[in-house]
Amino acid sequence: MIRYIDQALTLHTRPDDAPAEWRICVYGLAERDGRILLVDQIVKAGPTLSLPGGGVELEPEETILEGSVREVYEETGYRFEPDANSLMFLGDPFIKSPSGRHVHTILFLVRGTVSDDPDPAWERNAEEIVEVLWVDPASLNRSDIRRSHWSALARLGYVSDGR
Amino acid sequence: MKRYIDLHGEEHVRPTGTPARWRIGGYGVILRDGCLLMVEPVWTTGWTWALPGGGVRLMPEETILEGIVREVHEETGYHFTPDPATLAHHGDVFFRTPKGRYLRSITFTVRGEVGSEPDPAWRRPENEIARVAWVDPAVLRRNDVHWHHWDALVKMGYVKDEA
Repeated sequence: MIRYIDQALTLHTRPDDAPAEWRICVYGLAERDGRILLVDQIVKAGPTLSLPGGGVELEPEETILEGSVREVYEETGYRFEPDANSLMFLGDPFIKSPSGRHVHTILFLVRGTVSDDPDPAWERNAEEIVEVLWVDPASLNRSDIRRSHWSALARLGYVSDGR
Repeated sequence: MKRYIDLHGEEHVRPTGTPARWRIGGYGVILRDGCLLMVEPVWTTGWTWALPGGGVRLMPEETILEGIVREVHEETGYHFTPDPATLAHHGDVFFRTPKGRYLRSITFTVRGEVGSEPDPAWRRPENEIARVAWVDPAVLRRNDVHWHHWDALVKMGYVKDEA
């Protein structure tokens, strides 16, 4: 029996009358002068740092790469140019969302570059994002950042596991 | 405006009011003695061979890897042992089914091994699969293989596009 995990790491069985759904998520990894672009998010529990990104839209249609451009912009104000060849599958966790939905989530990461400065017209969504940060990965601890993002950064050599 | 491709390579715009759906699919890349395990679906359109695999179920839940293992067994009779480290994203395809459904198909490939013989209890699903065979990739040409699977084999270096 597959169980769904919530932000507080509690496991849940999906009730028979509750539908499951797919969610395709993509996160952008941009690096500049040895620092990576992160967002400090408002979350109910768990790590607050995340790579910028989110769900790919089903309708109106967008590709995974287009989703990464839109989400990085929405969360950080930077124009993101993904490198299509770097699109990487991170895993397919079963997640119970804060609103109680049962979501089989497909996680991707894509590396890319961002514009020199954020768009001056961009406005931070204060209900979701506390701050946009350029962070030296050496200063990160495992518990600071979403688990799947930590694992990806470890695979890519930005952080070393065991810290 | 995104276009959805059908089995015959025709492109379609999704009509307003017709929903798009996610479809998560996966295929096994199984090599033995230099030959690939392939299937000939009954619904081919000009080409012959496809990699074994298919859609991952949302309910009852299964992981992408579990879905591929189940599909390989259903289509070929072989018990498939995938190497999880090789599970990789392959494609982001907009597909219109023969029944007129509009699918956002996210596909994966995984390498692995199968048992020496197919499961003796297995019966070929005659309304889906016409033939199961070990195929030497050296004899394959682009037109012999489902286009999406050909692209996967090119990416993995099993076949080369003719100049």
